[in-house]
Amino acid sequence: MWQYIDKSEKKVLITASLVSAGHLFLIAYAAIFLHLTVPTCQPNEKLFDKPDLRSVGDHRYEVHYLAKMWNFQPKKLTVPVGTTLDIFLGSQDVNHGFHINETNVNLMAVPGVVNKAVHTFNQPGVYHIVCHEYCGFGHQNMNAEIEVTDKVTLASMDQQESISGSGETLSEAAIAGKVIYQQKGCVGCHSLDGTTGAGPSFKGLWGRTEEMQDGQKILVDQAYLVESIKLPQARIVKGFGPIMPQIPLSDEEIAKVIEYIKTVK
Amino acid sequence: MKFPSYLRKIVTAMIAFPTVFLVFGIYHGLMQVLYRSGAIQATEVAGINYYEGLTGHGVINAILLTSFFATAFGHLLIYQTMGRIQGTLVKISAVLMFAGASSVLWAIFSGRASVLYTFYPPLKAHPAFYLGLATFVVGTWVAFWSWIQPVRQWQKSNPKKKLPLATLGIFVTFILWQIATIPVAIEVLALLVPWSLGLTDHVNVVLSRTLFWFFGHPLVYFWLLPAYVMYYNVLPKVAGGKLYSDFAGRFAFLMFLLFSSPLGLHHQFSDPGISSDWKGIHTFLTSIVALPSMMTAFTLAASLEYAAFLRGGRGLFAWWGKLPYFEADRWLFPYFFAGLATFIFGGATGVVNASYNVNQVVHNTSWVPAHFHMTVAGPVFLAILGMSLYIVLGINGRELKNKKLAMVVPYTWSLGILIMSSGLFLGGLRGEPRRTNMGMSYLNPASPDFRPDWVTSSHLATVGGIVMTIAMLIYFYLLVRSLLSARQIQIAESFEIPLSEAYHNEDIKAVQVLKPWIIGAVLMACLAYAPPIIQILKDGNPGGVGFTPDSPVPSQGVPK
Repeated sequence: MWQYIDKSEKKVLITASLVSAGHLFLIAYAAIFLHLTVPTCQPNEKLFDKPDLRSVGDHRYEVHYLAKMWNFQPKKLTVPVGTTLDIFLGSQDVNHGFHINETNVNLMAVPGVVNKAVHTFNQPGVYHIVCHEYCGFGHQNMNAEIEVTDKVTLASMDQQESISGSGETLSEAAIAGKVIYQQKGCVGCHSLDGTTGAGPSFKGLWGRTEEMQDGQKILVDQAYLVESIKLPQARIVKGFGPIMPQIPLSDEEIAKVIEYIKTVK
Repeated sequence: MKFPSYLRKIVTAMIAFPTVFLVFGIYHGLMQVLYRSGAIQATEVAGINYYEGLTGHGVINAILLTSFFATAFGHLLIYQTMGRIQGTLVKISAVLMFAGASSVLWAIFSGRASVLYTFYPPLKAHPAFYLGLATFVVGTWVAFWSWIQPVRQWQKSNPKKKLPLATLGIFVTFILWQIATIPVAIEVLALLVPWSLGLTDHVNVVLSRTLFWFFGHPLVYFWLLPAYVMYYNVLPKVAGGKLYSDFAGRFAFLMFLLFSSPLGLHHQFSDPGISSDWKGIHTFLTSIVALPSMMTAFTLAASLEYAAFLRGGRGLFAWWGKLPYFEADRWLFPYFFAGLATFIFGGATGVVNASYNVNQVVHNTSWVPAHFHMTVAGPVFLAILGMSLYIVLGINGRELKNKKLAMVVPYTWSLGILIMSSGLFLGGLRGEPRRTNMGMSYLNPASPDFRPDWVTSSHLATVGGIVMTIAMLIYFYLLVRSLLSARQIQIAESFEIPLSEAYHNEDIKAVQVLKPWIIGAVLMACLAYAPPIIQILKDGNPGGVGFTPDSPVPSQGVPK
């Protein structure tokens, strides 16, 4: 068949083959000699359901990132310059993405499997982590950051701010409310720092007067918050959509969440 | 050529239906660049959530429009070149495709399927979405089956002749589709439908993703190959020349058949649960696609040079000046030419995505939609637009009003794509995520998540999106304006798809027989996928329970 093919076409086939082969050689070279590779199976890695940070050597730490609708834990990690992180990533619900911007750490978080990447942070600065796989209506609020400084020594996970919020001491009910806030996913839409998410921020919410879609002005008190949690569509704050689901919470749990909301100033 | 009346009606409906929904597809394309740049800072506009609209944009533009067009175009080509078609199957297929598409669209626009066109579980949609998709795909199979008997018959009555290149091209496109849709049919029918109906509690997420991309990459070629059929057969004719080489066309189609399935893992480079060795093997197999791609680039350029030569074009480069870039009699030419120009960038950037470790820099960033808008929304979409206009008007006896304006559309559209994709490329390199309502967080200056480094790129994309929308407004105006003109019977009766002759009409047996290539394609697909799938099944996956996109609380049973 080769002898029947047009002369110029033969040249095209040969050129294309050589270019492809050269390209593949460079990819293989980078993978084998520069260790620039892609995630692979972690068959011995156990699934985990809480974030973790542990030392595994000199300047080397293992961090367990937990992705869920719609936040990462830890939300903020502070590490000294020169730290190597073995990053393990798990999801508790749907697929998420995990991209540390300006680095080659680019992972998918898939429920039921653990993903892994290793990165050494040699430059100080703030590294943004962005969820880049669609994971539901709060997807755009899902991010985290790693701060690399030349000052600190690495704190344990308890001392790291695992989720944004003030460090003040909370009542027992408020702490329980904070746990519910994180675990039931309120955190995905209601920020603590004034950011407008898919829902209004909890910052300064208690005692504020909110304008509803129909122009009505309502004081945020116990009764309003109970109604908003039990019947999310009853009244919608101006500028937001009717997207909040009914979260199955007991009256007691709702009271705890409200105790927590009161502390977010 | 006189096409039977039922075929005219079905073909017209198959093009008209997705074109009507395309109005929404384009509207939400524009809305997306506005949301993404922060020009809109809201979760929804006019009752349509960003992600609901995005699902519609993807499903309508990339699945419904492309598949309906490929089927309608195939029906005409088969009837025109083979002289007949199996009418009953054509009708059954049309019913299945319309029913399936309606079900899918209902699920999306009633807010029950905001899961994007990749529908990865454990995000759960209403069963109507999955069942609609399955019905639609089975409809495309039946359409293909309506061609098999006429082609066999033709081969029997013409034992000495080669199957016409256009027929071979569209036939191979659907063989590829038939093979590639089996894994996704398994994913949908065996895993997702029972789970969405509440019959099973969990779904194996890694397996679902792998079965999806087993289908997902051939889907790309299913978009592309009808455009290739036009490039090889229609473009040389409308340029005023001949196809440089008949062999090149056959070689390209058959190579795509062989190498479009066994490389889908290159969409899952960042996934856990799949070995990096198999990701590497799929990278190698992907690179082989360079052969038919380069062959096509050469052959099309050579065919254009021949057309330019006949029009007096000479020299090494000077002949480029002699092509019919803006001639009313050859108004289809710009639809092909402008698409091919964007395709150069689309192809080159695709090499980045497919290159194993290099992909880590851009995986799932806005680089990805930038790339595929220069392939599917560039060459593929423009070829579909041009040929749809040609078919719908011609077959219904209408004349294209204002051919000059019609030629403005593809150039404006391509310019818009170049601008929009430049914005998305730049943003992607700085980590801008795809599929994200960025106006609510990253592009909202009042938010602590605000990313000033993404402002320029997302605004550039917005400018491009506006230019593209303008092109489409002109297109829709022209289509309606021309359809409203008086019907001229002689146009309808003389309508046919322009097919080119070959300059080099080689007689090479290896590219004239289909069977070995089909067997090879099935074997390649099985060999490349059996080991990773066996390993996924062995690892097991506790699976996802199911979530609707609006709530972090698991969704049991059928989503409301």
